[in-house]
Amino acid sequence: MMKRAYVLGIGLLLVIAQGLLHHLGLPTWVLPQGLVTCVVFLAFYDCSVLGVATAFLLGILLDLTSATLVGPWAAAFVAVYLGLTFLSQRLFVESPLVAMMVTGVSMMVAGSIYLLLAFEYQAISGGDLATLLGQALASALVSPLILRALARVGRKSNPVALRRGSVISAV
Amino acid sequence: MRQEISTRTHVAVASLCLFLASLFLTAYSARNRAVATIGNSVVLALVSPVSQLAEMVRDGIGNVWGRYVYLVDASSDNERLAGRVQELEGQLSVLREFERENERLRQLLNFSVDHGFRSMGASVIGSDPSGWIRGIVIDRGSAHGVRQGMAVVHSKGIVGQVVSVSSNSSRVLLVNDHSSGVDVVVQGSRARGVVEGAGERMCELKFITRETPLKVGDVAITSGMDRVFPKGLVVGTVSEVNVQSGGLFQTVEVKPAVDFSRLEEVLVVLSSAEIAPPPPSKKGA
Repeated sequence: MMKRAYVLGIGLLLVIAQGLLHHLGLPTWVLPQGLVTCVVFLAFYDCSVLGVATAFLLGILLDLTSATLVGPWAAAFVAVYLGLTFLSQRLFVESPLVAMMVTGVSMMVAGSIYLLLAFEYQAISGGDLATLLGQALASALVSPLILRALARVGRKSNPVALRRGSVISAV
Repeated sequence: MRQEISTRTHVAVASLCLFLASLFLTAYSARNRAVATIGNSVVLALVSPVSQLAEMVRDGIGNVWGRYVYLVDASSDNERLAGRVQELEGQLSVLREFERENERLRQLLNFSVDHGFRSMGASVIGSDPSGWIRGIVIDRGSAHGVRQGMAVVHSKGIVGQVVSVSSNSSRVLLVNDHSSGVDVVVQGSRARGVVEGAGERMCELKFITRETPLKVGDVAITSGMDRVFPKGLVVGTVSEVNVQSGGLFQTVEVKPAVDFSRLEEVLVVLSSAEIAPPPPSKKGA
């Protein structure tokens, strides 16, 4: 339970950091979406009903910061979480390269779902692929750092095994 | 193994339920924007103190860095400047005069006497974290008298509209956001239309008939008819006019007067004589 509260806390900090980075003049197309990395972490290290609920809450948090629609990011994060749980036993996400690839692809999927829903309900006029690709790349680049910080707390809360199957995957 | 499959089934079912709940929430909040703004007020209350603190730290680091660079340069500049002391003393008196004038102008700006509205200065402390919605966060909220729907302007033109308010901060939807709409009049031709957001640094002027003479460089100003923005404020300049072969209206692009990426201070319009009051209801009609 503490681990999930910690992930939510980190998510809140990442939302603030993203807002600040954007405010400082970082263009939209290089703005990393750290919350996607949190969802990746949950999918790999917390495959449970409470884990998907935490991913849903992270999405709601990002939705509420925009004050337009509530739900598109939540739907995107839940979908990404579900997809990743099927892969969690097959991928060695502890490798920074794999973590970057998984986060990049997750961001593309989550961003696409968000854009589809936001465009459908006319919250945005349209999104371009270059921006989405840029955000996916930026998110991928910072993901090993965020995952490492999250995994450190995961170990503290569950010192025996951070996630089942990681040893098998490593082999 | 069986337990793992059971867990995965539970996760899949929960994910499906939450995904459907998200879709329902999206549809519901699209019709009832109050849901999003109320939730945003709560998040703003959580986020704004940290944002303000970070802004102070950023300013502090900027000042320290600026002073450090100044000190490094000071030793070399000192010799060069020593010969110009006499000249600078003369310029100093002129600068002092400018400073006083600047102070007076700042007071004028705060009271916004020229445009006939009461306003309040506010600093920009954040932007939309996702980057897809064009909005900013200002450091004034309900505790300072800011209300949802108030106009936000800058000395160069209009900025946007307050969409949600917490006690010490507010979120402003920028004019260039897709959801934004401002009733405008084009100076010169006096054509009326609606300016809507159309991109990072661009807006679109809609409902201008094909026969209306418009040219690049025409200035669009607020009409005051939307009861949000005071009349006569600059919205932007016509940057492209495209009269297509079909359709009733021409396609007009407007470049906003304000550079939203460089906004630091804004004015929140508290009340205005130029904002037309609602028409009196006719009893017995």
